[in-house]
Amino acid sequence: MSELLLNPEELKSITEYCKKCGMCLSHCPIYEASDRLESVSPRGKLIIGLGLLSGELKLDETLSHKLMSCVLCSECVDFCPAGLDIPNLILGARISSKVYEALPESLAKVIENIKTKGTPHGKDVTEKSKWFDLVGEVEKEGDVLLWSGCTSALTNPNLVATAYKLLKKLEGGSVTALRDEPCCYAMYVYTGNLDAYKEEMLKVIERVKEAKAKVLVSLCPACTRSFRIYSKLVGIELPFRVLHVSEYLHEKLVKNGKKIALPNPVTAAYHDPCTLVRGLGVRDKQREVLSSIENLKWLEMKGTRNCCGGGGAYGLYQPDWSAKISSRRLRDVPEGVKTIITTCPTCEATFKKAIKRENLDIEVRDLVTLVYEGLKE
Amino acid sequence: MLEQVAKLIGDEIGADKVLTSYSDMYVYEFDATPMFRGKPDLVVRAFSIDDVVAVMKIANERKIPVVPRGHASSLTGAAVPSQGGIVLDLSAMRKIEVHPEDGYVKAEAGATVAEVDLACNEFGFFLPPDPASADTATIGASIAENAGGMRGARYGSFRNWVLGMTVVLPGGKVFKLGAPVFKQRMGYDLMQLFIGSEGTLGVITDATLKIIPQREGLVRFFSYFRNIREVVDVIQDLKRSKIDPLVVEFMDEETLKCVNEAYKTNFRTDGIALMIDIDGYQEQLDAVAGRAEEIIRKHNPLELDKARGGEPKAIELYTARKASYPAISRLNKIVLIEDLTVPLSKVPDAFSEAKSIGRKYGISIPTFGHIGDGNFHPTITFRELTKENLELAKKIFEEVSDVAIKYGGVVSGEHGIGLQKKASFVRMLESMGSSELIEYMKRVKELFDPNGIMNPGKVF
Ligand SMILES: Cc1cc2nc3c(=O)[nH]c(=O)nc-3n(C[C@H](O)[C@H](O)[C@H](O)COP(=O)(O)OP(=O)(O)OC[C@H]3O[C@@H](n4cnc5c(N)ncnc54)[C@H](O)[C@@H]3O)c2cc1C
Ligand code: SF4
Ligand code: SF4
Repeated sequence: MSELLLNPEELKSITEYCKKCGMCLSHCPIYEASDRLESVSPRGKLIIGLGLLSGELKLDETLSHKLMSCVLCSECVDFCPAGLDIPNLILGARISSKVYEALPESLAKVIENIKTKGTPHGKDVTEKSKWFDLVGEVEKEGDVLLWSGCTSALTNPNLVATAYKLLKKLEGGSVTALRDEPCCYAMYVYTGNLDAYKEEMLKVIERVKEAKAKVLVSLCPACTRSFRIYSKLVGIELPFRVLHVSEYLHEKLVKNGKKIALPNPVTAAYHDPCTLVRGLGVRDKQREVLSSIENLKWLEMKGTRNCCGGGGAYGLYQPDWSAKISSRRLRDVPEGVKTIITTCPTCEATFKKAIKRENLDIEVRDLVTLVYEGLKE
Repeated sequence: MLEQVAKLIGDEIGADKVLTSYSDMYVYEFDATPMFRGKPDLVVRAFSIDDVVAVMKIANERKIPVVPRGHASSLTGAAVPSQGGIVLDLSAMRKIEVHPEDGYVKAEAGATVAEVDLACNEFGFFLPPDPASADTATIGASIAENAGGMRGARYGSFRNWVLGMTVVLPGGKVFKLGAPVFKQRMGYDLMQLFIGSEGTLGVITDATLKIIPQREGLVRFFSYFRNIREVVDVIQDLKRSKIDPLVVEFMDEETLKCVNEAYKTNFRTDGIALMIDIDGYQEQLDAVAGRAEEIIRKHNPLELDKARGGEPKAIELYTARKASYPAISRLNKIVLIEDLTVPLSKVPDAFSEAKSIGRKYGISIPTFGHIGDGNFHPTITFRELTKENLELAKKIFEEVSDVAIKYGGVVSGEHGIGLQKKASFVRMLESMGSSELIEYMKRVKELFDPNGIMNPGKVF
């Protein structure tokens, strides 16, 4: 993963290394979901980015739609002979061309939701606190802060409650969380609006500081990226550590040799969230946690492409293509396996929808719930 | 006028398959060459042969150019709509049927070579031609370009594997050519005309290709020699000893330097790297590989390493070859890849002369390729993308092409003529005393494409 380039000249100069060879095409889930529409292929999006940077193209809603048709999964990156970090260049093009000024309607709605309701999903931010009722008391301050993210809190409050109880158990000490937790505002970065992101992120940081947290543990890889990577991009130094929950569990369990055993044997396939494995470069830690769980037989998913179709809030923006991608990914579950484990609330929610749609008998579980079950006694 | 055509085609096949927006046209302007661009007037995405027929009827009636397109990875400008018109994008037509019992695979034009090969692998078979671009190269285009690859030393290019195909001609006439059998006599073999035709005669909508059982094992040798002459001596000696390697690839010092610079590797750069794969059945593999090793050693390599297929080291040894084009791409914004092919005995002289042209102009021409069949790729490189550099690159390209002509070879072994090699193609025919052949080719084209709508301006 390379640095996101903000200087348009530099961005243009690097994008010019693209040879238009097309070696990235068949690895892009969006290209495949679109039945191979060139303008949403990785190459097509770079060509559009370059056109905007050189002034040959002028931003309009159509172009903005093309540039936004990227789940930032980085699947294409390994196949680019020129070694380009394609999603970062696409993101750079979104920022430099200010795509937020010409967003397609469905995406503009998502941004409007964040502005007016506090969540991309269009539900009021207060609804994010439902899980508080499931755990009794949540401390107002603590060294460790559980960050749920909008998707977990709104679609799976039980997961957040379980995560809170798990953290309490592992910490022994106080664990805090934010009531009416704000959005992580990654969507502002995805849509190229760094100024708005910075303004809101500074407020978010204040809230975390008020809770006296030294470590923020996030259930959501995308929120983790927003804190860890995007904040740096706008020159913010975070006054606390940020860990994705899989990294946190690795520190607490694997490093300490802590024993976890499931009460009953489980066989499951592990699905890697793109943002965790390629966006944040975390590949081994989650696997080591899985391997440390007794009574769990876990397998890798089949195939080389792993996008679930939900990344970069894509499920909210273009549900039809997103659905195609998730249905395809479900075919990678090894024969006979009935459980998928993942560690991203968006992957989980996307899969659950797809399983229902496809009428399959598969359950999806977060790593957190497995660990909690294994630590119960 | 083309708005009307777009509507006509849309009414016939569905408006969602017809693209006209400025941004859609913009992304179809290119192929994998840095010098050619051309804006189409409209793009049609074909999902079935009926879609193709409809386009070919309407375009022919109105004499509108049609450029068939797979994934536009062509390295010659062949897929660039240089005279506008309709780009007919076939990439969504991608059904594959494997018939292991009869030893063939049938694939629609837009399936990629890698997808077809993978489908065959499931039955223990494989598709022998393997362009380095297999992940993206489509079957229809690979036939239209008569593409080759690393296994070319043994299996040659696509031509050797095509048994049959369906083509749609301007006007919408559909022809089935060939049959799914390994021997066939059908009068004049017109199917061969479509192989390597670069989209100038008609549209290939599907093809039937011969496939063969996968080999059981492989031994890979990676060696270095002091110069290209020694490398050619080794290859000739292997052949004299009745050894027929699967892959024979080389990289020169400048290519190895690029790999080291781009990937921070440590390949030695004081010689030419030679990679040889020997494949076969388990029972005979060790014996044949042993003989090959003896021969390679007899020529005193600077270094020799080997690994069996499946071992991690076998992949490691492949790294430098696989990284050649990527390394060059990472370092240079202009990459113009030549495709010279000369008789094996002439490779040392042709190679040295191509390299000396680089020295004359003070630029780097890293060279690598499929030396087993005399096909190699001197690659003209410039770090920066400027107009001056592009002009100079074009000039050097022509000079290097002439080296192939001088040594009795061809200016293209596998990438085709397109726009880029039109001039050198003419010079090549002149040197053979066969300039008039172009006229014959034009007449053949006229027979299939009387209105001259198919990929006009390409090849000649
Ligand atoms: C990194 C890289 C590596 C490469 N390695 C090799 C290699 O090892 N060997 C090799 O031979 N080539 C190689 N090539 C060149 C190129 O990939 C091949 O020529 C490939 O077969 C083109 O496939 P495509 O689908 O991209 O075709 P396109 O570029 O879309 O089309 C190529 C030509 O075929 C015509 N065409 C396309 N589809 C049809 C059809 N259905 N019917 C009729 N005409 C059609 C087009 O009009 C055009 O003239 C490489 C290219 C790159 C960028
Ligand atoms: S990051 Fe993913 S969605 Fe975006 S261009 Fe690459 S493969 Fe496609
Ligand atoms: S693989 Fe890389 S160089 Fe090739 S078209 Fe895609 S982005 Fe460009």
